[in-house]
Amino acid sequence: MKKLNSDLKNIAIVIGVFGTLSFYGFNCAPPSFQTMDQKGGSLVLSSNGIVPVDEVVTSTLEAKTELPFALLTAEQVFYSMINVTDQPTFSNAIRDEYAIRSGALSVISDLKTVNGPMLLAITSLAGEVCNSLVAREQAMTDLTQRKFFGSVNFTQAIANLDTTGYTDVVTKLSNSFLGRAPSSAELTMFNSFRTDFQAAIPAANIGQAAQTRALVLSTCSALLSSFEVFSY
Amino acid sequence: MNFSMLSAALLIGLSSNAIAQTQAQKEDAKWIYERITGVKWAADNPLIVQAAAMIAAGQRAEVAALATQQAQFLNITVKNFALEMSTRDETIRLPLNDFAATVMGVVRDNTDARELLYGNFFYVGDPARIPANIPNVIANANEMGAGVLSSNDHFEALDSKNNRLDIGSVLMRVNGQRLVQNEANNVFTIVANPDPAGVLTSRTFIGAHAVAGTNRRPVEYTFRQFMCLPLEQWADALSSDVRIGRDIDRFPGGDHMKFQTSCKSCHTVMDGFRGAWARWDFDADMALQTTVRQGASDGNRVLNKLNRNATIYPGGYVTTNDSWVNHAVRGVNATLFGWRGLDKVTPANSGMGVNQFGRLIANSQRFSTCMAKRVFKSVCRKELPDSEIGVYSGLGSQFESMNYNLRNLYQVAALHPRCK
Repeated sequence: MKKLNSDLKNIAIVIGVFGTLSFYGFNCAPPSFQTMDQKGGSLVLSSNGIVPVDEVVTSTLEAKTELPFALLTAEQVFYSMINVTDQPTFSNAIRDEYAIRSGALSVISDLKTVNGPMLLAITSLAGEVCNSLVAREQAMTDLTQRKFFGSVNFTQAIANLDTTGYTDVVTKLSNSFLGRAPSSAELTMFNSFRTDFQAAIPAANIGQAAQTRALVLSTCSALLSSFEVFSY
Repeated sequence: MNFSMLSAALLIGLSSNAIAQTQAQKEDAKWIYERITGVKWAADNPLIVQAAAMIAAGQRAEVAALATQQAQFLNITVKNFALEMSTRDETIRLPLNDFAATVMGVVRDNTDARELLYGNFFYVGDPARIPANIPNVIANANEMGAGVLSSNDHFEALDSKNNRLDIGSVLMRVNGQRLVQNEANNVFTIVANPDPAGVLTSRTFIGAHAVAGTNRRPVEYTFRQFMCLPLEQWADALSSDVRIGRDIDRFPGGDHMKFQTSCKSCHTVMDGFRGAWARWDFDADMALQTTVRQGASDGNRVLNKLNRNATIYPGGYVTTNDSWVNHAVRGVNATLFGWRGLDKVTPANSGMGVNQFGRLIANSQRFSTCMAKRVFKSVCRKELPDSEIGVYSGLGSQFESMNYNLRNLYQVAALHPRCK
C-alpha cells in the first residue's frame, strides 16, 4: 500500500510539474503572467537569509498510508488555494481567473471525474494564486518576513539560487500546501526540474533576474496544482 | 464564558503548557479542520497548531467545535450542503439562493433544524453589514420584491466574489415570510405568507418544484431531500387510492393491472400529500399562494392544475382545499419513517397546507436519520454501505438529543470513527 501510495503521489507531482511546464511552454497561461512586473525588488541574499527547513511538519510522504478518496469541488479548490497560501484578501486577478476556470472544476466529489480540462483549470488557477503570492513576498525587503521565498534573491540571475535555497523553497511550499515535507523522490524531481528549466533558457536570457522569478513561480504552481491539494 | 473566550483561554493555556504533540495529533487536527471547513489548511497555520495542542490535551470534540466557528464551514460546507438540496438538478454549481441562505442562517444561529420545514422566517443580507452596492431589502419593499421575492439578485450579490463577503456572518434572520400580492412597474405590494414552511416555501424550492406540472414534484422532492428517499423506495401499491387525481389513467394502454401494480404504487402515497400544495404555484418568477394572489385557481383557491385533465378518469379525486392525508403508513412504510405526528406528541396523519406537511416530515424519525446521512456525506465525503445504516440512525438520535442542532451534528459526524 505504501509503495502504491508513494507511486501515486509521485505521479501526481510529475503531472503538476509537467502540467505547469506545458502551461508556460505552450502559452496556455493567461496574459497576466506576461504583464507582471518583472523588475523585482532590491533584495540581497545573505548567508543567513535562508530560513531553515520548517521543522514543525516532519511527516514524510511514505508516512501517509491512506489513498485519496474524494475530490474537492470548485469553491473548495479555490478557497483551499487561498487558505494554504494565506491570501484571504485575494486579488482581482485571482478572482477573475477563478471566474474563468471554475466551469471546468468539479461539482461532485467523485475522483473518477478528474479530466484534462479540470487539471488545466487547476493549474491555471494555481498559477495565478502563486503569481500573487510571489509578488507579495518579492515586495518584502525583510527576508525574515517571507514565509516561502526567504532564500530567493529576485534581483539575481537564476544561477544564484543554489540547491540549498531551492530545496528550502520546495520544502516550505510543500509543508504549507501538502501539509508535509517533500519526500526525497520529490526533491530529486524538483531539482531535476530546476536543472532542465535552466538548461532551456536561451543563453541571452540566462542572466535575467526574471528567470529566477519564473522558476519559483513554476515550482509554486506545480505544488499548488498537485493532486494532494485538490483531493482528500 | 462565551465560546470565543473559552477558545482564547484554551489557546493561552495550551500554549503556556507547551503540550507535546505527536505527528498523528497534528495530522488529526488538520484532518478535522479540513473535513468540517471543506478546505485545505497549512499545517503551520496558527489555528491548526492550536488544534493540535488541544488534541494532545484530549480535546478532540473542542477542536471540531472550533472548526465549525471558521467562516469556511458556513460559506463552503453548509452552503454546498444546502445548494445541492435546493433545486431539481441537485447541483452545487449555483449561486447562493434563499433556500441555502436560510439553511446557513439556521446553522449559524444554532436554531432547531426542524424549523427549516415549517418556520416562518427567512434570511437575507444584513443591511448594516453588506456593501452599499447591494440594495437594502429590509428598508425598501420594492427592493425586497425585486431582489428577493421575484429574482435571486440579492443572494447572487451576496455570493459574488467581487464583494468578497463572509456570507455566513452577514446573514440576518427576518421573521415572517412574505409574498408578492401585486406588482406593477416595479412597485411591489408585499404581504405575509399565509402558509409559511421554511425552505419548502422559499422562492427557490417553489420555483424548482411547483412550477407548471401538477404539484406532485414538491412532494417527491421534499421526501427526496429531507427523508433521503426517492419515490420508488416509499411507493406502496396496496395503500389507498382515494386521493389519486383524475388525471391519472386507471387503464393505461387499456390495462388496469398496469395501474394497479405500477402507476398506483407511487400515486397512492404521493397524491395523498399533494393537497398540501394545492395553493402553491410559481408564476412570473415569483412564488404564488392563491389566497394572496389568485393565479390560475378556482373558487376554492385551488390551482386548476391540480384538477386538470379531468376526463382521463372522472371518478378520481377532486381537490377542493389544501388538505392532505398520509398514506405512507402501512407495510414497510409503517416503520421506515417513524412518524410522530405534527409535534412529536399527538399522532396525526392528516393536515392542512404546507406548514403542517412540513411539521409531519420534520418530526419524523426519518428526517433526523436523513439529516445525519447528508451531514455525514458532506463532512466525511463518503456514503456508508446499507449494512452500516445504523451509523446514520445513531447520529440521527444524537441530532435529536442535541435539539436538532445541525452545527453539532457536523461535529459529531466528523468525529465518528467511520468518518475516517
